[in-house]
Amino acid sequence: MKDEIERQQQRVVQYDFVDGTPDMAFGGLCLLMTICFAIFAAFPGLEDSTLSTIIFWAIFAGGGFLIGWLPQRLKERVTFARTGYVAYSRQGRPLKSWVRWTIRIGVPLISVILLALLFLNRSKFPAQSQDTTLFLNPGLTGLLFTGIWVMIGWKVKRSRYYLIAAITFLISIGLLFSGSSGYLGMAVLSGAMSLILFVSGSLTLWKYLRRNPLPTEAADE
Amino acid sequence: MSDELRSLAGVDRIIHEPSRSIILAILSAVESADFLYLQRETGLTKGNLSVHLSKLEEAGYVSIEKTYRGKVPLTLCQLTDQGRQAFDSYRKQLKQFVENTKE
Repeated sequence: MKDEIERQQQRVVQYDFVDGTPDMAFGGLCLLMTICFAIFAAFPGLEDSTLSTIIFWAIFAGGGFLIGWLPQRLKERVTFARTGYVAYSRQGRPLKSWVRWTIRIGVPLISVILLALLFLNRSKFPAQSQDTTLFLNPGLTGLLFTGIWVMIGWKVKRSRYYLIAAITFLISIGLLFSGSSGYLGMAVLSGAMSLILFVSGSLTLWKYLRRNPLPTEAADE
Repeated sequence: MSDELRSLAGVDRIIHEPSRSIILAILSAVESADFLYLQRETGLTKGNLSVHLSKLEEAGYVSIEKTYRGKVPLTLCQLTDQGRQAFDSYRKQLKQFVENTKE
């Protein structure tokens, strides 16, 4: 009984990833990052302008939108009608309404304020070569993402994330050995990850739709 | 009767039924789930699931809200605080029993 209960609880966690929408949402975010890095790579010096600040804010706002809102809308139209609706609570129990609203408003607000402070005061930071920063080292960033995919794969017990981790690892090694750096290298990394995630998400969604046709009658009681 | 067996005899009979314990296990991991999801995961028929949910609702372990998503009717099921406590306590009792009866 104990094993069955834990197995069921694990299946609930996996359900969020069953249709590939999180992959596609993160793939969308990577695509936005690719565009951003490609623009910075194509127009050197742009990264120091106000425009770059606006672009970065747009990326964060757009990313938050993609990761939060879009998969939910996709799930409402595709997944919930086929295999049912589940609302997750990150604490394992329902949060009170005022806590939910504080998190919804507070976290983005604090993030925006911190980002604004960071960008407005960046001239005060010690000068540093872009190529040597961790953020702009595509090989190391790729290895970091490899670790993230392994962790997600381990948490949700979905083998495709191990495959994504393996491919990301190979790309990272390639970028490390090719000496790619700066915005162009980051654009290559995020572009490759975006492609992998869109392929993974699309295949998962295709498999899910094939296995779960729309119910012909309302299953509700 | 040994203490171990006596402790098992004292488990919550509402929860100590495989289908209902699975329903509670699912609901314990989420904020809420709808009827369709529970039906697919438990493999129960609509009628059976409905009966089990009614029993859990009567016991105060589950709250059921009938609502709409667009024009589609939706039955949302949620574990109450009382249900969560009862389920946690049930699991502890079972674990304790298994520990005590190990060879």
